[in-house]
Amino acid sequence: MHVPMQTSYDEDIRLFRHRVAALWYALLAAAVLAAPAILGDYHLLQLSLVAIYAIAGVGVMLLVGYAGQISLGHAAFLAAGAYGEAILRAEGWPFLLSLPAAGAAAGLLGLVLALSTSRLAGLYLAIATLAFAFIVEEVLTRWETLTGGSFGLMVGRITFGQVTIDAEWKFYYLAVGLLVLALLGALNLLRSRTGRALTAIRDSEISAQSLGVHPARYKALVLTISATLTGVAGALYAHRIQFITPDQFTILMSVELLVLVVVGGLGSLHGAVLGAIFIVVLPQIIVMLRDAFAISSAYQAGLDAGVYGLLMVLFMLYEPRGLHGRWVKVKLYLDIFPYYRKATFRRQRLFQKSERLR
Amino acid sequence: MTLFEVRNLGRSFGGIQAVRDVSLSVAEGEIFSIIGPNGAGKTTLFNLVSRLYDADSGQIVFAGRDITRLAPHRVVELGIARTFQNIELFENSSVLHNLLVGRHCRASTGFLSELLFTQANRRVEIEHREKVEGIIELLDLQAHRNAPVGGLAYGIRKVVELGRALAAEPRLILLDEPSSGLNAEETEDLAFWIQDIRDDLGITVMMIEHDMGLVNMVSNRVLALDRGQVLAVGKPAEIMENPRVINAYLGG
Ligand SMILES: Nc1ncnc2c1ncn2[C@@H]1O[C@H](COP(=O)(O)OP(=O)(O)O)[C@@H](O)[C@H]1O
Ligand SMILES: [Mg+2]
Repeated sequence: MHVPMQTSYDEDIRLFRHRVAALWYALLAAAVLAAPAILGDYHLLQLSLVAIYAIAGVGVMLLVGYAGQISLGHAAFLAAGAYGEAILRAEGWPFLLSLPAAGAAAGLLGLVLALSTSRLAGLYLAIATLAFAFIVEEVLTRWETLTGGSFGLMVGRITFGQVTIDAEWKFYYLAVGLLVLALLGALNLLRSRTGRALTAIRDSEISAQSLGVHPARYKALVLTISATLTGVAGALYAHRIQFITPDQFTILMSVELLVLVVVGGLGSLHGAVLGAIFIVVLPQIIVMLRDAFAISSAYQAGLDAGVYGLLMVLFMLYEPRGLHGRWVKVKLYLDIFPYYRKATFRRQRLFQKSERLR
Repeated sequence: MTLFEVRNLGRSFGGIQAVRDVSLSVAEGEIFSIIGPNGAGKTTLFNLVSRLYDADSGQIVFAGRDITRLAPHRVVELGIARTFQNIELFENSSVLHNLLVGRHCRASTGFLSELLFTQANRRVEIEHREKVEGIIELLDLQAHRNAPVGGLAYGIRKVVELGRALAAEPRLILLDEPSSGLNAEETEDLAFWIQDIRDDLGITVMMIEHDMGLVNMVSNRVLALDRGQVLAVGKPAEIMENPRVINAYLGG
């Protein structure tokens, strides 16, 4: 096992705590950069999709995994970003402006949702976010002059001045670059005052408040950030699928984003990326299972929903820390072999659960 | 000099008058204990002061400022920190992280500076860390620094909560039954820490406590509360001989 010897507090704040970790990340970065040289367009396309889901995943992770809030309406922010981008591109806005604007539009929508639900928590909040997503979906369908209604919208190519993103590898680098920015921003917030305030309201709102954290303000902030990131992912998603309609942004998409963070591992940014990989691979697994069990493709939609639901329940019950948590355990097992005990991660209950004031 | 004062404070829940016309004043540098049977309204009094509850009547004045209607999250920045009777820690975080949240109300560098993790932000983070390390040393928490608090023994969790309140650099600290659930040895440590907190850090202490030995040892003055009302205030020895106080405990 690696026990680092520390000589300054700065070492705890650093992005990469020790050299070994930095080395692994360098290798990963090299692999990510080299991917277009090795992989064909199809796989590159899948990887771009992973990056897009991971950007939204970071957003949902901040909200659900770190601040402990729930949302069943994130499809709405994805849609806001996607439609915002499609419309602004059609208006001739350069991508460098349309992307932040699409993100900001989604963020603003998030802020509005946060302010109008500031008195709700738990199940009520979940229902409110769900209702909100239905409203947005309905608006997208009805406001035909702007959104093309259920016919949908074509999404133009991305251009930076003279440069056009006209090849898979270019889009891949763009998506991965934005993912890296999202991850860095999230990491920076999480190792600062804001990140601590978020986990504080997740674990005990009462004591967070008694230490000066304004719960409503931080909930609004995290939902705004979350919606903005999801909106940026939505903008990329629009380019990725090139043609958007309201029925791509239904509750199933919101659930997919929740499955992403639950399966990936709540409270970990690694989890957001692992979950994104899982979500992109999952449909292919479902199709394989469907064929193996000779289920008619007419049941596809129900099958998807069923598998998502089942996965969520199973992970909540058996691996609440998700894929990332599983990885941490395997790693520890290897590190301290043969001293691993089954109960290493079981929380001790030597104390009574504190009573809540509300 | 009076640091903290409560005037004719009242609060009821439904038909129960939990706090009734309570007045008290605490001098800067005092260790002021509140005793009383269960349900006397002690915790409610603290909840009124830390603004978790709104008072029905009366006033709360801290350092010359009326805080009766202050927003709850602003209480600590003025200088009042507290602990809870039933430990309220951030269960999924480490001891260090819990203490750092205690620094929330002190220096901050703004959202953008955090997003970019600028040098200014790094400097503030390291300052917070230095402050928190001082508290870890004071309370002997070195061995648990990076342990998740969810798995720690009860006694240590209580100390972490005390440390978290200290991290906010308060002028007044409210301790709600700090010794409950502690063994004799831990209670003894606590007695010394409470005195250190006052003597070395210059923090005024108000504590709700059932352990009369501890109350006797550290308090300058004691207030006895029963059914929401003040029975008596005075030196520890006086209070413990006061027939009304004895009666309240025996009579139930
Ligand atoms: N949030 C609340 N809702 C209803 N009743 C409460 C609440 N908080 C306290 N009380 C009541 O106020 C009285 C005093 O409680 P408390 O202040 O907790 O007593 P103590 O801390 O002295 O044991 C009790 O009768 C209790 O039931
Ligand atoms: Mg109490």
